[in-house]
Amino acid sequence: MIRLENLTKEYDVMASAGKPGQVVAADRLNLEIGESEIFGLVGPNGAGKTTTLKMVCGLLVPTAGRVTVNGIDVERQPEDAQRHMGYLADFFALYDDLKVWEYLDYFARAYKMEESSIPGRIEYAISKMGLEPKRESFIAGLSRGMKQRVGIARAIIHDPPVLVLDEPAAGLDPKARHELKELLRELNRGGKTIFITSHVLSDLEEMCTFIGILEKGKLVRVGRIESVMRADTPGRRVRIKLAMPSFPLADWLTTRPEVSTVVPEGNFTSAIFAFSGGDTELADLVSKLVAAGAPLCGVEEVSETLEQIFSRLSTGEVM
Amino acid sequence: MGLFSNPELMRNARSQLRWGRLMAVAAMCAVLSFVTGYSLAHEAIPGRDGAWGMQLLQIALGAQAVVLLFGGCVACVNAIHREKEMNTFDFQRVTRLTPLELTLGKLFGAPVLVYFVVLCLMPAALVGAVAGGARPTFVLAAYVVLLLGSIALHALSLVLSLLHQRGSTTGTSLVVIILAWMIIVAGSSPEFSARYLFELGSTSPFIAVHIVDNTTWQMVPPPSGVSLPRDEIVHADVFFGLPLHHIVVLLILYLSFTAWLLLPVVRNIKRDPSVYELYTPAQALGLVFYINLLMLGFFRWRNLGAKGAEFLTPHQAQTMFLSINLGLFLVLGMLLLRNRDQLRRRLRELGDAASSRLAATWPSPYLLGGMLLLGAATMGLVQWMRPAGAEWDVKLAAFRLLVMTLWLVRDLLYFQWINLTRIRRPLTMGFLYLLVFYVSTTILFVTFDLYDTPRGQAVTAIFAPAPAFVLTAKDWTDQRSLWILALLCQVLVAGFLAFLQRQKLQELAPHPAAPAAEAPVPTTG
Repeated sequence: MIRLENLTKEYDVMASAGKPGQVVAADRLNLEIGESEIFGLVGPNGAGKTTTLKMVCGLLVPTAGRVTVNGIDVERQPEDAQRHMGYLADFFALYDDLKVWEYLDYFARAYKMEESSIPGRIEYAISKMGLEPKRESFIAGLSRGMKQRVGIARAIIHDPPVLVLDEPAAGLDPKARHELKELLRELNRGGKTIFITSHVLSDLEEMCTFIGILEKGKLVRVGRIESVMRADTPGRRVRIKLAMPSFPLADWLTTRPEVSTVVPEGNFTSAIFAFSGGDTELADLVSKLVAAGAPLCGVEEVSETLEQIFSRLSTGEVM
Repeated sequence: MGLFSNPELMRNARSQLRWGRLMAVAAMCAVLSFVTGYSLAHEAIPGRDGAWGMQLLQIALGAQAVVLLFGGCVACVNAIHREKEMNTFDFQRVTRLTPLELTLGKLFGAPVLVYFVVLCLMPAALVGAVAGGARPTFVLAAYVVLLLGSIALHALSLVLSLLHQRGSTTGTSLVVIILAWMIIVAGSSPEFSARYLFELGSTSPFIAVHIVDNTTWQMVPPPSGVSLPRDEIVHADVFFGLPLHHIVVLLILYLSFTAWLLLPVVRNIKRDPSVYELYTPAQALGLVFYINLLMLGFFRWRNLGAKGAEFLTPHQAQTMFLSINLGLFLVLGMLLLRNRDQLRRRLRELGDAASSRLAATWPSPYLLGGMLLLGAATMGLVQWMRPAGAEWDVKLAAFRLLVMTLWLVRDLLYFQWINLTRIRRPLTMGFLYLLVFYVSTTILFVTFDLYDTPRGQAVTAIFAPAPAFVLTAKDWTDQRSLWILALLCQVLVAGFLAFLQRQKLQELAPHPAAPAAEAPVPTTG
C-alpha cells in the first residue's frame, strides 16, 4: 500500500550559535506498509517523523529515493496519488471564516468526488466525528478538540484507503483521545491503512499492528509490534513477591545461575529479575525458593511497555 | 472542471460574499453613485446636456479601475502567502486539484469581493454612458481592457505571493506599495511615462477611462518623436511597420503577459517551496525573446540616426537595447539559480554529470547564448535600418556586447556560487556584498578621477565594465589593449567563480563510502 524506497531527505539548518549545519532527516528509509495495517512511527523530536510523513504525502520532495502509494509514484503522479490518501498535520489549520459543512464541501470538491455523492459523504463525516450540533457553526468558534475532529473529517471526506496522520492526538483531552483511538480502530476495521506518528506511545501500543522507531533519520527498529517488543526485551523479566521481608530474597536470587540483574522493590518484599530459563526452569526456581523457607505470595512475568523500550533505545537527542 | 464550479473559487466566494457584507457594500456603492450622479447633473452646464453623463461614466470607470487594480492586487498578493502563514496551504497541495485549477481558483477567487464592488458600480457607469452618449463599442472595449489588464496585474501579484517567504509581512506591504505606485504613476501621467518609463503608461489598464470618450475606430498615424500627447495615445501603434490599433495591442499584451505570469504559478503552486523553479531554462529564454520581439517590433526605427534632440544614434539604440537586455537577463539568471536542495537532488539523479566542469558554469550557457543571440539580432537590425552616413562601428558594437555579456555572466556566477554556501539568506547577503564592492570601487575611481579620461575609464572597466555603455569609436581605438585586458579579466573572474562552484558541487555530492541501503522491510502477512 505504502512503499518507501531509499527515501532520503537532507537539508541545511541554522544552529543556535548561528553556525549552519547539514541534517539528514531521513536516511535511506526502506519500508513497505501493507493493506489494512496501522503503522506507528515513533522517535524523539527532530528524528524525522514529520519529514517522512510529508514526503509520503508529496509535500516535501525527497533528496533521493521514492514513495509509492497503491503503486502510484507520489512525486510523478501527485494528483492520482492524493486520491488514495488523507492527510492530517500536527497543527490546527482550518478556514475560520467557513462553516463546518462548507469546509468539508470544499475539500470534497477539491478531491473531485462525484457531485451527487458529496452531500451524503459530508453528512457521514459529520456524524462519524460527532459534529452534528456544529454543522452550521463557523470554524472560528469551535474548541480545539472540535477543530481536530473537523480536521480528521477532512482527512476521511474522500474515503481514502490510506490515512497519514501526524500527531493526531496532540492537544486533545483524555476523552477525545480515547474517542480518536476508537475511531481509528473502526476505520482500520473498515479496511483503511493508517500511517501514524504520536508521542503518546501507550496509544500506539494499543492501536498499531506494526511499529517503526526512527532515530536521527534512520529506522532503528521496524516490524510487528509484538516482535519489536519481544526482540528488544533482554530475556524474560519476572517479579517475585513475598508476604513479609523475613527472607533475603535478592541475595538468594543472585546465587541462581539463570537469574541476572536483580532489582529489589518495595520494602525488600519483592524483586524483579531477568530470567534466562523456560517455564519448567521457572517452576523449579519457585519450588526451590519455597523449600528455602521464603513466604512466597506471588510470581508474575513482567513485560516492558513500548515507552520503556523506546526510552531505552532512544538516545533522546534532538537534531 | 468549469471555472464557476472551481472549489477554490467557491470557497473564496463563500467566505467573502456573506449576505451582510454584500448588502453593506451594495448600499455604500448605491449611495456614492447616486450622490455623484446627482451632483454632476445638478452642476451641468446648460447647453452641454450629455457632458455630465460622460463625466459620471469616467468617474465610475476610474473608481472601478482603482478598486479592481489596487484591491485585486492586494487580494492576490495575499492569496498564496496568507495560506502559507495560516498553515492551510499544505492541505490545498494534497488535494486532487490540478495546479492550473488551483491557480485559476485563486486568480479569480481571491479578488471576488472586488469584482462584486465593480459590479455594484456598474449602474452608475451605465447611466453615465447612456446620458453621455458614449459609443457602446468603446464602453465595451474599455471594460475589456480594464478587465484583462487587471487580470494580468493580478497574475503578477500571484507570482509575488508565491515567492513571498513565510514571516515576511513587511515585504508584502512593500510589494503592494510598489505595485500601486506602478499602476497609478503609469496610468495617470502618460507624458511622464513616455519620457521615463518607455511609454509604459500607454499600457496601463487606467487607459480604459480615456477609451470611453473615443468616437472613431479609425487609426491615427503615430506622431514622430518619443513623447506622445494624451489624445493620441489610444489610437495607433506600429509593429515592424504594420499599423495596429492600440486597443488590439493592449489586449494582445495583456493576454500574452497573463499567460507568461501564470506559467510560473501553475508550474510551482503545488511544489515543495524548497525546489521552486519559476521557469524552465527554455521558458525563461522564451520570455526574454518575447519581450525583445516586442521591443524591437515597437521601436520607432524611422527615428534611428535622424537629427533632432529626441532621436537616437545607432550606438545609442544599441546601448538602450543592451541595457534593457542586461536587466532582463539578470532577472532570468536569478530565476535560473539553483539552491542546495535542488543540487542535492540533481547530484543523486545525474551522478558525476551534475558536478562536471560544464555543470559548474551554470547558468552562464543560457546567459551567453541568449545575450549574444539577441545582441547580434539587435546589431543586425540597427545595421539594416540605420540611415546611410550615420556613425556605426560594427566591431565596437560587437565588443560592447561581448564585454557586457561577460560582465553579466561573471556576476551571475558569483550569485550562483554564494547561493550554494551555507549562510543565512545567501542571495541577500550576496547582493549586499556586491553592492559594497560596486560602491567602494566607484568611490575610489571618482577619488582618482578615473572616469574623466578614456584611459581611466578603460582601467575601471577591469573591475566594472559599465563605461562600455558610453565607449566611443575613438576611445575604443586609442585604448584597445586596456579594453581587451578588461574583457580578459571578466573571463578570468568568471572562470574562478566556476571553479568555486565546482568545489561546492563536490561538497554536496553523496559520499560513495556510505553503505548500501537495505531492501524494503515488508509489513504484510
